[in-house]
This record gives sequence, C-alpha cells and structure tokens, in this order.
Amino acid sequence: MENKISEENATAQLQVLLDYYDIDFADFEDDKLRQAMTHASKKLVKAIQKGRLEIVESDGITIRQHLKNPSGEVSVLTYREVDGTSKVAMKSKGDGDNYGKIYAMMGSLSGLGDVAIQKLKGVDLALVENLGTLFLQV
Amino acid sequence: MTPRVDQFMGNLFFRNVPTSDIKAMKYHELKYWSGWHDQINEAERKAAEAAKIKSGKK
Repeated sequence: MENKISEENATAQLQVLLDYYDIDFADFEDDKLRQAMTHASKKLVKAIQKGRLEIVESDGITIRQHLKNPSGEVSVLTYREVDGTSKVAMKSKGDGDNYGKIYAMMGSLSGLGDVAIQKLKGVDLALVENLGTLFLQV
Repeated sequence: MTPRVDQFMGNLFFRNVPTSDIKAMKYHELKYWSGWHDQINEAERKAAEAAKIKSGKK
C-alpha cells in the first residue's frame, strides 16, 4: 500500500496526540515500557502514513481507524477522547492483563465494546493494540 | 511523572464530585478540574500553615 502522507507529517500528527495527553517518553523510567511505547508509536506513524489512522483535533481529540478488513457495515472505528468511563471499563481486568485492559478501554472509547474489538483481525487488531499501548499511559 | 487520568479522577473524588459526573468527564475536563483541585489544595495548605503559625504566636 502506497503511503499517502510523508513520515514527517505523520510523526507531527502523532505528536499532536502525544502532546494532547501529555505523554512524554522521557518520563518513563522503565526501559521496557519506553521501548514498547517507541515501538507502538513507530507503528502508529506508519498507519497514519498509509491513511489507516486519522487524528482529528476538534472539540477535544478523536481518532478514526479505517479498517483494512471491514467487519459487516463497519469500516471506520471512531475513538472518542479518553474519559472516566473508559478508564473505569478497565477496572475488572487484572494488573498484568494489558491486552484485556486495551480491549476494554478501546471498546469503551469506540462505543462498540471490547468483544467487537477482539473480533478485529490482523493489522486492524494490531493497530488497536498499538494505540491502546499509548492510551494505557494516559 | 506526568499525572494520569486515574489521579485526576481521584482528586475530584476527594473533592466530593459525584462519581457519575467524574466518569462522564472527558480528558481535558478531568485535567482542568483536577488543576482546580490542586490550586484549592495549595491554598488550604497555606491557610493551615498560617493558622498554625498564628496559634503558635499566642
């Protein structure tokens, strides 16, 4: 798939998201966490370049994910700004259950629930997981 | 470390903001009102310190 956006512009778009949520990789003392965040952000930049991810700053911030493998009539997932409800949605998950937390949070933010997120396949699910890795730090 | 949503929510809970209101707040709202909590907290701390000094002088 051809890139629609330059790496520089995609990185700038991701930075808008990071700035909005006050995420600074330098703040992370845990090397593994910093590495995971760096890895996730690189994947997100590539997704933005390919047009699979859009960051929309208007009345807060929302993210649109254009699915590569649409399920039924849903081809775009829209994640609203992180809020208390999405945080509370993760509470039932165990401390080490990061995937469970990500699915619960992203399911809440999309309004579709965690089961719908878990049904995504391949690159679509991977993209949610990379996005969720960042959001877990918010 | 950058404050997180959990901390923002905890601050508002401490200020007796109803849980339903806290859950409904978006990130930027939580951050804003949590900042308000921090300011009030600092003012209360200073007032308590001043009261302590004043009572000590008596």
